[in-house]
Amino acid sequence: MEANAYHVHLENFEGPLDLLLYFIRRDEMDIYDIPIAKITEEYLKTLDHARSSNIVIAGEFVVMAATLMRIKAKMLLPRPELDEEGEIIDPRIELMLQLQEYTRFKDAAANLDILANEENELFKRTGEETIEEEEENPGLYLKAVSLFDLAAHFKTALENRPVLKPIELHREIASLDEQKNAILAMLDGEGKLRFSRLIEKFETKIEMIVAFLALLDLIRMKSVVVYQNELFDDLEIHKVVIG
Amino acid sequence: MQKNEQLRILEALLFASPEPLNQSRINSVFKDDPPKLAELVKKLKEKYEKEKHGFEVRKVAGGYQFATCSEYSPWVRRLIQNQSKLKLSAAALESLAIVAYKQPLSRFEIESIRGVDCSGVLKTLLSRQLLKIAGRAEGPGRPLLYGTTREFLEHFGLDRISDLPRLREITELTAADENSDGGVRAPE
Repeated sequence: MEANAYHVHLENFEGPLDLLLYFIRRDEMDIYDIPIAKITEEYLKTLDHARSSNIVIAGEFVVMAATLMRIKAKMLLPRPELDEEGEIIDPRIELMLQLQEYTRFKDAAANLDILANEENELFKRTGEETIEEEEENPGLYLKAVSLFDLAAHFKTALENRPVLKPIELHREIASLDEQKNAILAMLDGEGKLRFSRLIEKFETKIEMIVAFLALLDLIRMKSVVVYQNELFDDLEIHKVVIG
Repeated sequence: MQKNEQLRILEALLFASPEPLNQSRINSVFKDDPPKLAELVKKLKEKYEKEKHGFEVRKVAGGYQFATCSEYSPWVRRLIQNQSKLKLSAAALESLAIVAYKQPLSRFEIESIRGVDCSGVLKTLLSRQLLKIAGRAEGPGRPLLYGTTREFLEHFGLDRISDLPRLREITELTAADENSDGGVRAPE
């Protein structure tokens, strides 16, 4: 392919499969009968070019280079042509299936892009104008919080703690019931409490962990609900009012 | 309550609703004897069609919302300049496509199709709320499973996941005729 004097730039591709697919489409190769020597040559040439331009080559590209060379070697070596069930053995089969599966989703991704662009041409009535009010009265626009949000928050709270005191040998026993009562006692007049305030109160890790477990238990018993204004924002614990 | 009055209330709710309006929101607004949303919307649509408006009621993510008619986009675009909606990268679109058609599935399954590491792109998609953690797999290591969100449906203007275009069969990829049946449908 002397005609392709220009270089293929590795950084324009999503991964090794994307690059192989590009060669297949550009040179009109048959995906069911990939000329493995030719495609390997093209592939390695592209990697060499990237290396000479000091581009960091992702590990996946290197792994694929090895795979291609292994397939190429297998094609050259004498091998049985049929397996025990009489099916044709083709060292390329795995790569072929992988490429086909990838093609389907690459096409699906292109379809999604079209959908998103069409959608972008339509202008919707949305509640974006409520942002101003939101700032004045944050409590009104709280979102529901999932268990994953809660766990992620707990992790952040632990990481943001100053270095903990060395642990002394007496045992700190913080019971679940104690911590539950502590949380309920900390709720303000309106039955609200910020998660960051709750964590501040405790000094040792064990107290915090038990307090977190106590919070989960309170949620389970539907004594409190937890809200969050936006992603990574502080959590707000609300007492559930019965009736 | 008069039928016409109900229709006007629905109009007001659609106008004010921050997200696609669904039946459960209608139920909470009307409290006793809530009207059937789908029926009301049908009437409203008929009315709009007769009167020829610049906007319409459309179904998305299991609810209804007002949207401008596509033929007026050029004008609206002049009004709302610099409206930079999030533009998704090729990596993001590929990962979303895989999750959309095969959900729920693990990061490993996504990576084995794309042939590259996906942890970064999945993190971004989670934080943009286009994907969510849909649970954990039963297998070894109990990996997290990914699924699409309501925001995903809204972003692509879909009512349900099953409204996604049909995923082509492998045999169709090289076939000249792409209209044959037997393709894979997105999960309900």
